[in-house]
Amino acid sequence: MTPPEIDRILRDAAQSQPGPDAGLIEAIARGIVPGVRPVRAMISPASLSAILLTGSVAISLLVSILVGQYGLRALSRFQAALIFSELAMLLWLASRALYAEMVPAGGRLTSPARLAVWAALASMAMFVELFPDRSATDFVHRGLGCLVMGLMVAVPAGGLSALWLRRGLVLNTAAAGAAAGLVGALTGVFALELHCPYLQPPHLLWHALVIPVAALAGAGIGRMNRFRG
Amino acid sequence: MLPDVLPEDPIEALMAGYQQGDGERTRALIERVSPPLYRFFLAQVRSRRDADDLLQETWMRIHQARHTFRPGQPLLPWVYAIARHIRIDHYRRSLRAEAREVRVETLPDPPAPAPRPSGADLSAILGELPESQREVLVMLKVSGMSLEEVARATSSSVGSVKQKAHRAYRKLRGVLKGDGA
Repeated sequence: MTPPEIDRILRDAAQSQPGPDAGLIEAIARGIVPGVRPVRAMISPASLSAILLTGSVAISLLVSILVGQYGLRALSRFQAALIFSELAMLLWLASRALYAEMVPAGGRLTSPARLAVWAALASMAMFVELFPDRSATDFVHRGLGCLVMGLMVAVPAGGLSALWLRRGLVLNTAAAGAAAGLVGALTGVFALELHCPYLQPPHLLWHALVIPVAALAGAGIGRMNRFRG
Repeated sequence: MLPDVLPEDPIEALMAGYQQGDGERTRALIERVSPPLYRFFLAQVRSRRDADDLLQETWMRIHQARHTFRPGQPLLPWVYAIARHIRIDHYRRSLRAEAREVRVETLPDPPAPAPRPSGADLSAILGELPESQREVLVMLKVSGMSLEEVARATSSSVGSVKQKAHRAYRKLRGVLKGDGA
């Protein structure tokens, strides 16, 4: 049996299927049409990305001004340009992922969880490439401090991103939570790079770790249906 | 004042009218989109009553979320992404309900063996397929969506949709051959 023959059988079978009762369609129309009011269409993905990117950078700058911009001073111009442009690009991708989760058929490029893994790996690859010092002084103590600070920035930033989800229609709450967590996480990493003066890749592993941890936490919260629009 | 609704008006134009609060276009949209949507449900649920409920629930959700449709985009992927989610929710609810059902002491007589697909019964033909393949095939062949539209509605890639359709065809070939169709 050839595909066109199967197509024909499916088409015939579909045509022989009963349609909805006229009464049912009338009941749906009666329930909707009398109360229909104009609505404002959703913000465009580009506008949402611009707003989230600006907000994330503003939060990171504010935090770094409060706790000290030692990291920014320790970086060369070249290193700073590469690191912050990579983080800005990842933030843009994360905000597109957030948009895709708040609009049905919103044009998902990849799942937020996969994007979080790629973002952590890309950040780590950049750190390894830019910083040759492989020493790991006070690895756990210093690292935990940075992880906690990154997550403390990620929580409000992710929470603010999650507020946008309420404007849309979230169909997959876990993925939407992961996307909000990812935006928050990248804001946290942005703040860490501005603040933390330790430029050894073993220590910077803790910075990159903020990304999967916050995305996972967001997915967990999302699974509990907190962001259902 | 908007012009009268014409039968050849694209559904995207009707949706734009719905977003602008135009009752006439909203009604026309409901009348145009409901039949294929209903068949989408009917091919995947057990009864007409379930399909009726799912259709009504989908329209309620579309109404609440109509602002999330972006003008200039194709409408069907947006509608079917919502419909698909509602069907999955319904499926999960029915699984939970089945798990809560009380076991009876004596078993009823076993049902008669299911008749082989007659070639005209869509749900019987597609009943042999796994959920995800059935869903893709219904969108492609019953609702007439393109591969790109199905990929968008199911949040997957065109390659993945093609693969599911290919596997579904391979399985259907066996089913329909057995039927002698």
